[in-house]
Amino acid sequence: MGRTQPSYTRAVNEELERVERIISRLNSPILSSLLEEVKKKVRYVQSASYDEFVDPYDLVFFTLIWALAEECEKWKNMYLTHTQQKEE
Amino acid sequence: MEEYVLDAYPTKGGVKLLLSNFKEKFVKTTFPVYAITDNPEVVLQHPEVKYYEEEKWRTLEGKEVTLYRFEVESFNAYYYMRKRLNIVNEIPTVLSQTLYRLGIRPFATLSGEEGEKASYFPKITMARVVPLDWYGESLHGDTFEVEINGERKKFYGYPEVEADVVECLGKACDHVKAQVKVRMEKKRSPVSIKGLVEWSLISRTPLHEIAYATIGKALTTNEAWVAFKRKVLIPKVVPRVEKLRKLEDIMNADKGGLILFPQTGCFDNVYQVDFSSMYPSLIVKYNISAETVDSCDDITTELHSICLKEKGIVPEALEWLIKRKTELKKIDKERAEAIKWILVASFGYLGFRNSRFGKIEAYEMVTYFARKTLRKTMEIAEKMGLSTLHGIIDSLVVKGGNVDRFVEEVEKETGLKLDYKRFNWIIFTLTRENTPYPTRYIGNREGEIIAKGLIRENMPNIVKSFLEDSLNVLSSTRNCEEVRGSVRKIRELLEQYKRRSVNGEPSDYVIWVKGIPYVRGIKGFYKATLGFRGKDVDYYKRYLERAYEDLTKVIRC
Repeated sequence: MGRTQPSYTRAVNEELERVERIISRLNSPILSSLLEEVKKKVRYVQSASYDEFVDPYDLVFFTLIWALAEECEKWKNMYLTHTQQKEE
Repeated sequence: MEEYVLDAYPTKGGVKLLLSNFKEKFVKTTFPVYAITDNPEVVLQHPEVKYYEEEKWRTLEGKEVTLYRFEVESFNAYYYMRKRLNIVNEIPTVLSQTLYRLGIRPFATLSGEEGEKASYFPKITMARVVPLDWYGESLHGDTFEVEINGERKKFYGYPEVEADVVECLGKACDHVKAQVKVRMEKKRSPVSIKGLVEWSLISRTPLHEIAYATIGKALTTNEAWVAFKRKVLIPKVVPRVEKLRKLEDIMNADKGGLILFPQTGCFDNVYQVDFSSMYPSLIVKYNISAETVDSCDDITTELHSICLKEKGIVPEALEWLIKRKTELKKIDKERAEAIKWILVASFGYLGFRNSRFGKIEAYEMVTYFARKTLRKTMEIAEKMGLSTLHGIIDSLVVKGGNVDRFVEEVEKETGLKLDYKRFNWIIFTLTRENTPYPTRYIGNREGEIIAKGLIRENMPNIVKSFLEDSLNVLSSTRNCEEVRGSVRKIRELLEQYKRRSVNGEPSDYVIWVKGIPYVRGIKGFYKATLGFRGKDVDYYKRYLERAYEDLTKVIRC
């Protein structure tokens, strides 16, 4: 049948493993927890970008930015609630 | 009653027809053999070549070609010419072309031209005879399972079977009386004997020529009839050179259908919306065929263009098959299944390098439109307030909103037919790496459990039986809460099966791997064909526990 292409999911997993190896050498719990978030989200980014041509490396780092953005949003909301409470 | 043509064989000077009710008939004729040659006169020197005629045909690309149709007296002459000349138009087979000229259609009566209508099927006796051993179907078993026209019987000795067409295995073939026998060990297609009769009927090809062929041959023959009637020559080998492209372009173009990773967990009250025969329908809708892709710019896409000036050979052949399958689904499921297999292969065959009517660019166009169609469907779902839980190639799992209106809207927008089913609940699970599993789910479709990727062919029979019984427990559950509550019942079932693994029937321990039955003994695996030589109870207990853990992990998801 058509040409058999290597698995895209496996390529994404390899990128994730590479990042995981680097993070484990840095002994940074913050980065480790961020990576866990990335692992949870990465498949959904894959689903959304299936029609486009995206390098697995870019995909992992895009997901990392997404995870960071959500973290920032969380902190921003927390800060706003905190200042609101203070004002009250 | 008039007899049906069951099979046909070429003989010297004509065709021998095998008819129903154990009758035979000889029809005097010559066989047409098409060749491209510069010197047709030389061919006439063969004593069995009667005469020739010059004909104008065209290639798939539209170039005119001069062909010579030699009329030969026997297949010996045909085989002789085949080694020495450039013979073309060998699909449909020479014998099929001969029958077509004579107005004879396999599985129709000699006088009638039936077969085109889906409602027609010959009134013949069909049987399936299989020897059974303690581990299941075998070539040399002493018990026989016989199925005649849907009725099943067991014989503890040689069976007395008389039928028009019989599908038999091993030594059973030596003890049945039939006009046509199909040996199961030589079969290469997944269809039943009734399915093969359907293939023979629609492909206008004698049964013995199609019984041992792959699905590809049934498909190619149907496409070749379209080409043959249009006088488009069918070469023996299609030289297909793909145009030069950058690796990046290939990666961009050569993708499969759209697969979404599911949202994991258990969901109540969801709908599975399927496109019926999506790929073949897209081929028909967009006129995708080897000769229509990249030949003019009627439809332009970011990948390739498609020409709409003439209907493609592949779409024309498939349109008829899709219509027939839809009609057969209401009349006869077994025959509909046989057509479904051809339609399933139709897309893959477009990209197969030896396919007569395929082209890799055409293959890419099908997946391109499939991805676009599913994305569009998802957008419509979102617009109408439905959430998409999962999507895989031609099917979506959605929740909420008005599904009837959604299906209506998608059919209007895409021009394709949809079908939907309600699930009481559905579970999408995680892999061992805790990522969503795209091809695995369990769902309760109004009392019927659908489990994808849970029961594997190569599991021991006892494990398969345990999983089937566990799924039966789940079939009475109405929502996710009841599903989670059924773990205790499944645990009880596991204990029962663990006890059964100590003193079960020998057949419980059989594991089928690639058609060979094995049993796990104390010293390792051995072939069941050697006889039952004990079992490793620990192995089966551990297997049952693993299956239980796997299943309960899914349920608790």
